[in-house]
Formats: sequence, C-alpha cells, structure tokens
Amino acid sequence: MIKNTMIPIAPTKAKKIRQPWRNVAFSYYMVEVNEALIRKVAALSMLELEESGVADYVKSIGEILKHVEQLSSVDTTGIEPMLHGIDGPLRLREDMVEDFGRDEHGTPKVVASAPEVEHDGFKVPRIIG
Amino acid sequence: MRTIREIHDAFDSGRETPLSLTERYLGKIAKSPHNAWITLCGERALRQAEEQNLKLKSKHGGRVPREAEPLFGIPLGIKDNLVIENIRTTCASRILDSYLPPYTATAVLRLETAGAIPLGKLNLDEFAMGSSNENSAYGPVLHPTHPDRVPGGSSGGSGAAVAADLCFAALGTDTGGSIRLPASFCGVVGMKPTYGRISRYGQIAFASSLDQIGPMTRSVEDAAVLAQVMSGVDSMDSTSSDQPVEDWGAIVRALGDSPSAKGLRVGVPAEYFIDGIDPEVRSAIEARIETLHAQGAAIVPVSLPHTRFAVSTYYLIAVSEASSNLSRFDGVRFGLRPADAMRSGGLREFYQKVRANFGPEVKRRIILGNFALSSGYCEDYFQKAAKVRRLMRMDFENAFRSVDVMVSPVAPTTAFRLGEKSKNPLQMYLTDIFTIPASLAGLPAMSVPVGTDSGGLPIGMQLIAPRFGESSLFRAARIVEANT
Amino acid sequence: MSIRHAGMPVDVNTRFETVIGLEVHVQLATESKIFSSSRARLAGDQSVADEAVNSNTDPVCAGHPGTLPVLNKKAVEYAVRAGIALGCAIRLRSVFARKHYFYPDSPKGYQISQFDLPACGPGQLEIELGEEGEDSRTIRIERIHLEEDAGKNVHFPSYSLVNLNRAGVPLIEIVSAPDMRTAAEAGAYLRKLYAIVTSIGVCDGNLEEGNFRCDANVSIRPEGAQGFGTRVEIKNVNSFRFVEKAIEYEAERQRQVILSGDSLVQETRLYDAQKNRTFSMRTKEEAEDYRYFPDPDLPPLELSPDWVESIRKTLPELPDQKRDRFMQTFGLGRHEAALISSGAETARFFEEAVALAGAGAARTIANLMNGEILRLLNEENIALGESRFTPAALAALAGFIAEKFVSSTGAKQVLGVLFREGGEVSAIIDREGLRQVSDSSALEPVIDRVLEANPKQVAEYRAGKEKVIGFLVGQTMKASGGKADPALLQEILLRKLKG
Repeated sequence: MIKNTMIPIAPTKAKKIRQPWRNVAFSYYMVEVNEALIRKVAALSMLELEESGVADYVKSIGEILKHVEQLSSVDTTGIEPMLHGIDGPLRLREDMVEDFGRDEHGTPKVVASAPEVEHDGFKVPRIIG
Repeated sequence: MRTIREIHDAFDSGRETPLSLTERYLGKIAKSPHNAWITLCGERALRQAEEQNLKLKSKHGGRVPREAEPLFGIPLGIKDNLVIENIRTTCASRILDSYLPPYTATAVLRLETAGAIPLGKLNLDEFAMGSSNENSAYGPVLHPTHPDRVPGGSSGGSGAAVAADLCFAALGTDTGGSIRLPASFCGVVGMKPTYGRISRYGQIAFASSLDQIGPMTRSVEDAAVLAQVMSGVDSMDSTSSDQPVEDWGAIVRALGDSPSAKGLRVGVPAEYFIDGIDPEVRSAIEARIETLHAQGAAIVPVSLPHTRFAVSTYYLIAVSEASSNLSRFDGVRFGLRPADAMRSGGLREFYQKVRANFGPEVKRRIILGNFALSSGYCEDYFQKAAKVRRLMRMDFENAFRSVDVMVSPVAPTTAFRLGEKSKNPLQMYLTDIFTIPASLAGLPAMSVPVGTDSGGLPIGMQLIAPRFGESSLFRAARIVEANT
Repeated sequence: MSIRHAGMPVDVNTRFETVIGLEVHVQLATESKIFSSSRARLAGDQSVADEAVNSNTDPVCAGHPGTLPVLNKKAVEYAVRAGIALGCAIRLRSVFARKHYFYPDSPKGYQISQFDLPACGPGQLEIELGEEGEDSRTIRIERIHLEEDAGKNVHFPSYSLVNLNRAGVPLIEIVSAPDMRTAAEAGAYLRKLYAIVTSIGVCDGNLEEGNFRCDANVSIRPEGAQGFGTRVEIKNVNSFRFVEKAIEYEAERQRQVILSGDSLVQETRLYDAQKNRTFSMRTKEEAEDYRYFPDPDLPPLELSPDWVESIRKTLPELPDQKRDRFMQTFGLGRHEAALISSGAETARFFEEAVALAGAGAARTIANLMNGEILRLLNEENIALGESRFTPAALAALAGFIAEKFVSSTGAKQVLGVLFREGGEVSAIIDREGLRQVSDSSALEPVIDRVLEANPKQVAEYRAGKEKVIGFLVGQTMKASGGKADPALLQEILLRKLKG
C-alpha cells in the first residue's frame, strides 16, 4: 500500500510516546483501547455489543486510533479549528409560521411514519421518574 | 444516446418519448443483476413520463422546452440517502427499513422541476459509510463489468447504474470520495461540487461539514447541467451558499469537440504521486497530463504538505459528526422498531434493541466518533483534527495561487475484489487517500474516466478546483474528456 | 475526629451561609420555532404544548433524517434585547453547539444550544431587599445563551407518549454567578428578572405554562469560608415561592448531612412542592457526558454592531427606569414605585389611569393597585389584564376618593364589586350606598348618639386620657355604616368632647 502515509502500528500500551521527530510540546498519551473503554463508549452511544464482536472492535478501533496518533506530530499552535464546511456568517430566517399539515387520515404528517402511535403521540416504554 | 442533448434531439424528432425511455429503463432494471437499486418508484415515474408526453405534444408543439426544463424527460437514479416524499428511504440500513419521509430533498425537487424523472432509489454503503458498497443491508452492488469486483462506494449503486445504463444519470453523495471513487471504479463521470453549492436539505447526514450531493453521468456536459440545476442557495440549509451559479452547461458546450487547453494552469501535487500507486493507474494519469501539456496547458508541480495526515483528520471529523448525526435513529418517530422493543425494562434497553439494527461498520464509526468527542479526549482527537483540517485547507489555498486546477489519480488502484478489504477497516479507509483532501477543504472535485487497465478495469482521473471554481473544473474536465 | 466543610472545621454552633446560583430558562415569545417554521406561540394564555398532540410539528423540529436547522432572526433579536436589558456584553460572534443525550423528548438525540461562545457575556442585575426595598445588592450574570426546548412526555401505567409541540420552542438560559446568599435574595432576583424579560416583550411570562423555569445551584459553607461546599442542583422549579422554599429546605438538609459527619454528594435533585422536600434525581457519577461540539449545520452567528445598536434604541423603558420616573414625576415612594413598575401590564395600567385622573391622583391609584387590587388578584390567582378592572374605572374611583365622595373602606368595597361583577363606579357607589357622609348636619346626630351611649369613655377623655378618642372614632364610623368622612368626623367629635 501507500507506505509513506502509514505509521508503524505499535502494540497497544498506555505510555508516553517519545519519538525524536516529535516536537515535545505536542507529546501526549496514547489511549489504551481495551474492552472496558469500548464498552463504556458503546454505552454512551446506546449500543449493546454482541459478546463475539467486542474483540473485533477493540482490535479495529485500536488500529485506527493508533493511526490517527500521527496527528500529534503536527504543530497546530495558533491554528483556528475548521469546524464548518462553509465560512459564515449564518443566514437567519424571518419569524414566519408555516403549518406542515396533516395527511389524508388527519394525522400530523410528521407522525405518519412513526412505528407506534397513540392519540397522535409517539409511543415509548414507560419512562420511570 | 449518451448525452441529454442527444435524448432531447430524439424527443424532438419523435424517435423517442419520455414515456418510451422511462419504460425501457424500467425494463432494463428489472433484468439487471447488479443489485444497484433498493426501491423502485416505477408507477410514479411512468405517471410523470406520461404527463410529459402529453405536455410535449399539447403545450410545446413537440419541441423539448430545453430552457425551462433542461432535464425534460431524463430518467434518473437517486441515491437512497436522499429523501423523496412517501418513497421508501432506507440509507441501506435496516434501522430505516420502512421509512416513508414526509418531505422531498431540495436537490431532488429542483431536478424534478427541471423535468427529470426519478426511477427509484439506488444502493449504497449503509449511511454512506464505506468505499466498496459492501456495507449495505441490502447486499453489495456488483461492479458493472467485473462481477468479482466492487463498484466503489459509497455511491456504488449510482456508479454501477449509470455505467450499466440502468438510468440516464444518477445522484450520488460525497463525504470523503463517495462519488469520485465509484465513478472511477465504474468508468463514469462523477462530480462533487464546492461544499455549500447544493443544498443538503433532505440528504440523510453522514458528516455534515463534508457531505455534498453531486451528479454521476456519462459525460462532463451532463454533469455540468445536473450540477447547475441543483446548485444555489436554499432557505432550508444554513450551509448552502449564495454564490452566483454560472451556466456550466453552456461553458462546456462552448468548448466544442476539440477544446484547447491554452492558458490552463494544471497543478500536479507531488504528494499524490507516491509509492504504492498501481503502476498502470500512474501511467494512465501521467499520459493524460502529457496530453494536457500537448494541448497547451501549463503543468505546474505543487505541494500539499499535510496530505499524509488526510485520512486521520478525515476519519476523526467524519466519525465524530456521524456519531452525533446518527443519534436521532432511536425508533421513536420513524424507522424500524423491533417487535420486542416495547417490552424493554427501561429506555436504555429500548434504545439498544432499536440501535442493534445498525450494521457493524456504522456501529464502529459511532463508537469511534463518540470516543473522539467524549470528555477528556475531545481536545486531542476531534479538536486536533479540526485544526489539521484548517492547515490542509491552507495548503490548497497556497497551491491554488499558481494553478487553476489540480490533477491526480482518484484512487491508488482500480476496482478491488469483493471481500478484499472488508476485514480491515483501516486499509479500506486508506482507499480514499486522494479524494479526502478536497472534501476536507470543501473544494469542488471530479472523476473523469481516462481509460482502463490491462484487465479492462476503468481508471479515473481526479480534477480539483478552488472553492466555487466549478467553471474551471468543468472546463478542465471537458478538455480531459475530449482528449481521451 | 472533627468535621470539616469548605476548608473549615464545623460543629452544631457554626453559622452557615447559603451560596446560590440560578439558571433561568426563559421561553421567547416568537411566533415560530427557533430552527423551523412550526408555530411556537398562541394568543393569550394558551400554550402550543397543549394544542392537539404533535400538531405544531414539522420534519425539522421532529428530527427527521435529512433535515437542517435554520435560525429564527426574532429569537436572536430577543436574546440580544434581554442581554442589553441585563447589562450584558453582546457577543458579535457566537456559536451553536450540540449537547448530546438520549431521551424520547429530545428528537435528534442532541439539543442545539450554545456552549463556549454564548450570545451574551457577563452582565448584572440589581435586586432590592428588605420590607421597603431599602437594601440593594448586585448579582452578576455570567452568560445568556440561546437554545431549543425539548418536547413533553406524558406517562401512562405501561407506556409513555411523546408530544413534540414544545420541541424547538426558543429559550434563553440566563446563568447567574453564585452571588446570592439567602432564599429571599434568590426570590428577589427571580422576580426582578421576570419583571425585566416580560416588560421588554421577549417573554409572555406565563409561569404555569413554564415560560420561566428555574434551576437552582445550592451549597452551604461556614460564614467566612473562602471555598465552596459541594453543590446540589435543584431542577425545574417554576414558582418563585417554591424556589425559595426549596432553597431553604436544601440548605438545612445539607447542614444536617454535614453535621452528621456524612459527606455531601454532588447531584441533581428535584423539589416536591407538596411534601416541601427535595429528592435525588441523579448523582454526578451518573451524569452524562454531553459531548459538546459546534453544530456543523450552523455556521457561527455574526451580528453587526449596527443591528445591536438598533435593538438597543428600541428597547422600552426598563422597570428600574420606570420606578425612578414614577418616584420623580408622581412622588411615589421607592417601594410603591417598584411594585407598580415590576410588571409591564401593571405599569401600563397605572399610567393610563393616571393620565385620565391627573397626576394628583397618582398616589391614590398606586395605593389602590398595590393594596386591595393586588390582594383580590392574588386571591383568585389571575392577572390584571384578565380582570374586569379598567384604568378608566380606577381613575373614576380615584376622583371620588379625592372629592371625599367615598371613604377608603368604601373604595375597597367598590373594588370588590368591580372585581366580581364589573360595572360603572358611580353606579356601584350609589347602589351599595357607599356615598360618604361629608355633611356635618348629618353626622352630628350620629355622634351625639355615640357619646350618649359611651359615657365612661367620654369621662376618661375629659380626664386627660386622650387615647380613648380612637375608640370613639371607631364607634362613630361603625354607626355611620362606614360612610362618614373620617377627617370631618374627628373634627366634630373633638369639638363636642372639648365643648
């Protein structure tokens, strides 16, 4: 593959990276990608991982995060992050009301494609508290 | 008939009608083995075509209204991450299996207003996440000419359908190369406009600051016409640009059959011609650069020094935005809700049962994204990538001071084999190495077919222009096309 | 081992002070939602949340795939207006961010809010304390940011239903510094804030509909401590009185936890008004990681200084400015004037009545409004604008009082009838027989009868016990059916006692 875009993939270990080409100001800790971390982030994502799949995620996500560690070698001092695809300013809309309407059965159009509806409300399991 | 102009001439002469053309395409689709379509809207298309048949006779005296409806009677395929009211939209995900959207995407509305007829919804990688179209819940799309190969992704259905003539042209979406890569692998023209040119309203978001809709066609001229119809500010999209849209179709037509490249400054970025590129791809691109030179173009070496960080930067930003965008798929207001979801012990269990219907690659990216945004990591991952992204954009701004367009391969290789990279996400991500930088910088870019390798697999050349420089992009693309 | 809190040793004799910071969510009175064109506001007291379920929705506010937010200019204008009124720095460039959490009333799985670059920077609010508002304090405001409201969940025994009519209604969140030290200060801050946002027209001010909701951050520390104690957030209390009670309860609860030797947990608690107690909702360990990041669908909001200036110019008179004007122009006392100017409607009503009755009647009108009228309104829990009172009726009544046509007791009765039935002031006075007796020939026989009936008190007075006059005045007033002019009554009575 494209050799000079790749950084050698080191074994997963939480340790301070020391590489001669790295400006010391940008050294930081590699994250240790392990099962606990993957499970924690999966929970944050409302995803339940199948037991058989966890190891695969640990491996592939570990490799990807290892690859992106290369960014720590870029000096970004004083660089404004680029967070939008387009430069502003934001266009605003006038405060005008438009009714989105109902379908031929009288159901609000936004509700029509919902999986379970009662009295035009979206049905969900009982929320405790 | 390869171009819209030829179709319209055929309508004028009565050799063809919108209805006969639509019927023929629907017939071909029914027999095609490519798995390019997820949903067809044949009845709707036939109704539209019939109306146009009538209109052509009664209102226009048999002459196609080219000015008012530049896409009159043109059957199109729509990538299935763009919504059309009441036509099932799946994003190639089980989680949206039965979704009937209550509205239509602005880009599709504009195409329909210009006379185009959508035939149905095209297959893709689930939520446009992939480079091979192997990540679809509806099965992989087959390469149009080499069934053991991938068509490229994520707009694989669009690329294959246009190449196999299952629709006249198609809409794709491009986040990191999802139009250009399948265009290159399938041997069609694929164009990603400047970020903000075409409204994203109705495009199911993957990575909001990168996503753009674009045309996939069999000619540069048709790509220009489609892009022009869709472009322009939209009150429903705060990131759509109000930059004036030029008559790109006319610009391309004016170039004629043997356009000169005189005065065109073509940049060749050193970082895009590196070890690891398939030699046949390299020589095809280099030959085309020679041709451009011979036609009068100035060839200028340029440098984009941060290119080697592109894949890392892109994936951090794309997965972060994706993890956020995909939070809305919760089975409450739309989409699939498993039969046992209401019997959940609580909300978490409910959400997990619903969200179990994301495919494995989508889950991987949601997890990666939520990691990159989570407290304690956001600064080093998401924020860091956003800063490197700015540097990459500055690279382009510097280089474009001395050139009008840049050229490069679209991908390091031609279409790879089904299954070849699907076990190694990182290798798959690296397929997009040459398309990602223009996406990060928000630049218009295109893939134009420039021949095939010894195995007959298409090779695409990438052209990149400065922001809102579509006019030079189409001009350069037409020169390349005319000399191929 | 001795107990320590906020860096100091504490015991049962320690005097604690409460540290309070408030986060107030103010619903902006725009017609459409913050990021889409569904209706956000109905006329009068109705709320879109109560309309037919999900009827005020569109694909954007319901979070349908492919939809994008487009910011409502009026919402920005209202946020800027509030910022100016609260003396805040107005940020010419602010950024919208996504705050992620999964909950059925949050359609996108994230709320669009502002995080590190809010619409308005620091400002402050002066509050008045004490019976007559004689003490004042300055409470710092840290920030004001724009955000969207969530929908509402309705609960049934085996499931819940989600209604998104309220989803996407524009809010501003006004965050104070932890500058308040008592529940009363918090109450004064809230009332003042309420007076401002309603008087400048950015909020309809309907408390029951949740137009103005408050989260209170409460901690306690020994007096004199520099550090802060562990803080507890009390969520979503929507009455000023309940906020005060919740703070008082919470401060005492924290004191008991500390003195018992336990440590406080940083947590979110809810206030149960019926039981007057707070209970735990979630602890910090369970708190979510909101994964804030700038919304890529919304480029930074940039305001031109000219636009901000034009908003500043159209800002109506603020309650404090009104108060000062009422003091200067009409000679009202500070407390009186503050009460009248605390609500836009009250102030308008007052000024209209004064315009009809003349400036000389201003104090009488203010007294009626701050006294009997306020009492009647509070009793029935309705707003001045919804009552049968009109500025014209009040002006007429003030005129009758000035001419001694009706006594202050009689005036109260008139107001009662007006409140319950409405009608013409003069007709009510006549019908109820409230015309004051200002004719000495009519009063003298009444006084004579009273003096005859109370020889003991008359003798005491004449023996030098002058205090007893009060009793005799009261008896005479009673005998006249409350209709006697008090000044005239006193005059005749004194003449007769001394004569």
